[in-house]
Amino acid sequence: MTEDSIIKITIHKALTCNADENVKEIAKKLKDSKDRRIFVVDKQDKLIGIITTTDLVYKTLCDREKSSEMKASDVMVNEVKAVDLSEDFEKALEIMNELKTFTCPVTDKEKMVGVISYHELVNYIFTSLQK
Amino acid sequence: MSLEKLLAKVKTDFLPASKNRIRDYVQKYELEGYFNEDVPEDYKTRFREGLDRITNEVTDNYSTELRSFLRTPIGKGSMALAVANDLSAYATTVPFHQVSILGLYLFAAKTINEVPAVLRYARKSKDWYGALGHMLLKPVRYLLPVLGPALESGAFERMVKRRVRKEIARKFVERYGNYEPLENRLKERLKEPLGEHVYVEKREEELVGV
Repeated sequence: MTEDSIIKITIHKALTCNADENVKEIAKKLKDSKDRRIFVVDKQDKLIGIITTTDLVYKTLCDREKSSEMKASDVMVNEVKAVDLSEDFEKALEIMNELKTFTCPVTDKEKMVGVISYHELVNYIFTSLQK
Repeated sequence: MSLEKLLAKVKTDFLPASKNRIRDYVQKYELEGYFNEDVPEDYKTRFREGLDRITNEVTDNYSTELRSFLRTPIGKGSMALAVANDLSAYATTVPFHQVSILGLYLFAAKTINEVPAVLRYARKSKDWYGALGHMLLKPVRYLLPVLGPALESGAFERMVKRRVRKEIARKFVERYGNYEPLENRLKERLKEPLGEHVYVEKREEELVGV
């Protein structure tokens, strides 16, 4: 852990995949990393979608015959709400509040950077205000 | 100025110099924004500790000007004699300027005694104008019947106390800045760009060689 990471909010690296990646591969990635969501990015690392374990279950198990040929683009949710590094704390909290999640994807000019957690964000804000 | 504040000011000015009394006055009237009911208790505690420290610092710095074992009795004695003389002059119809020679001696002794303290005060506070004004007003006050000598008694200490209060408040604001309620600071912080406060976790491949 570096000095930077102690005094700032950590943007954790996020699990990513490409739009043409097979769902089986994606499921394996999720299983290996014990994660519940994977972000879909294009060749320029631009965030284009999100796949949750629920999406995988609902969209692949219902159509087992086609599931082995399915790609990330077939199961992903296209409209991903993310906060850009140039946007404020409030925006990040708004997104998490709206989606009722405890993490929020962070982008830098649409490029995927990682995810921030609600607890770390709130903790940082209050800790820094007390200084 | 409210009557309450005026009375508190007169009280701190005329009663003997006490750190607690000076601190309480500054806390209540000069720095009320830091100690009102809207300020959270933990902040108030921090501010109170800071104010205690600053009060000690400043009053210690002016301790020889605020009180003196020699200056105070001479001053009080000379002024009490002058007031008594004036009152007796009124009662016995003798002109009030017929002060006894003892009174004059005491007044001279008080003034001479005060000179080094006034110089020390002026050097410490840089309030040369105030120090000069005090010395120039001295004979005027002494020649005023009854009220003059009464006002002259402890005039120097009152001037030092005023400076002490001012200095405590100034140092406090310098050290603690303008207090802003947590709610306002939170609103401002929430408007700050995320990019200025984040650390991007390195990917494993980026950590190779670190």
